[in-house]
Amino acid sequence: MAEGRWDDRAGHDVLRRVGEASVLILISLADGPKHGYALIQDIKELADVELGPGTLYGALDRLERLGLIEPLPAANRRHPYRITVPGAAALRVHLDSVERVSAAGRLRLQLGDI
Amino acid sequence: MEDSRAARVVQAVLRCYPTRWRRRHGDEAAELATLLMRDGTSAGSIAWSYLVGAMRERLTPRPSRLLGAMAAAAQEWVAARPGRRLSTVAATVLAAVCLLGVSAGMLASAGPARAASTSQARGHGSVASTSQAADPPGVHGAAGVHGAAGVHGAAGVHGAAGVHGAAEERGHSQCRSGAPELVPGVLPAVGRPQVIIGVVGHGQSC
Repeated sequence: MAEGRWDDRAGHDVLRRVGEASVLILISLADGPKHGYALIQDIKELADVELGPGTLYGALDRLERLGLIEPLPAANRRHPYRITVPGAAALRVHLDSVERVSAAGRLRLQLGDI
Repeated sequence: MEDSRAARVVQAVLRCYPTRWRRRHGDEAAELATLLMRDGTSAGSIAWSYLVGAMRERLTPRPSRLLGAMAAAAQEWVAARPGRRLSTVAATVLAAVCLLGVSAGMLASAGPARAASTSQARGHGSVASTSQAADPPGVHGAAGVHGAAGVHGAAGVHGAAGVHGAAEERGHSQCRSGAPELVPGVLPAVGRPQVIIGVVGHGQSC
């Protein structure tokens, strides 16, 4: 799809192609709505990644176009965002996939004699 | 003094974003930059991040933008200018309309072919599924070649002769001697695909 909305195909990891920033934003929004500044602070704490503001807005726009997040009414010029139901489902699929790859990687490290 | 200069730089960079983006995120982005600078982030890195974001925003192709750009370009070109004669514009518009007409005509003429291939496949399927046990192999072969016989549903029950009988009863001549005839048009092919296909695909006396 040429960046359309996320369709609920079982097991389709749509987040594989959206980039690390988008995944981190979704993870940050998983426990509740946040605005830009709160997202940057949370992601810094969570993953030790300093998200630039330009990267943040690009990722927010992309996630919104995909229907994975949605904006809430603005408060004091700040636009909070929250994760949507498809967004949560996509995040689950992606995290499962990452877990599988991670487990396979650990296993291979154990088996390999390096 | 330094803060205000940094803010001006960030404001200048924010103007690189498209108007639509600035209407939506502009105020919040400026406030976010202020908060980040207060936290110790350098104004240069914030400005650079916004600059890269603005370039991405402008360079990312989207269907709506492409259509808008094409429409704007067309409008710009079609608008009569002092240096361009009206007849040139009219001729170009006429040529575009003709090209569209030719394309539409080609699509329309491809319609019966598509209908033929679809219904022929269906004809094969119905023959194979309904009449394999009852009919001799020769009948199957004939029905498969015709493609249309199975659609009528007669091949499986009556054999080849039954197909012709059923077809003629309905006023259609499926089996004709001589060269295959062309499909007469879109409407008959859509309305009765099996009859038309029989005429085209067969073309021999039975």
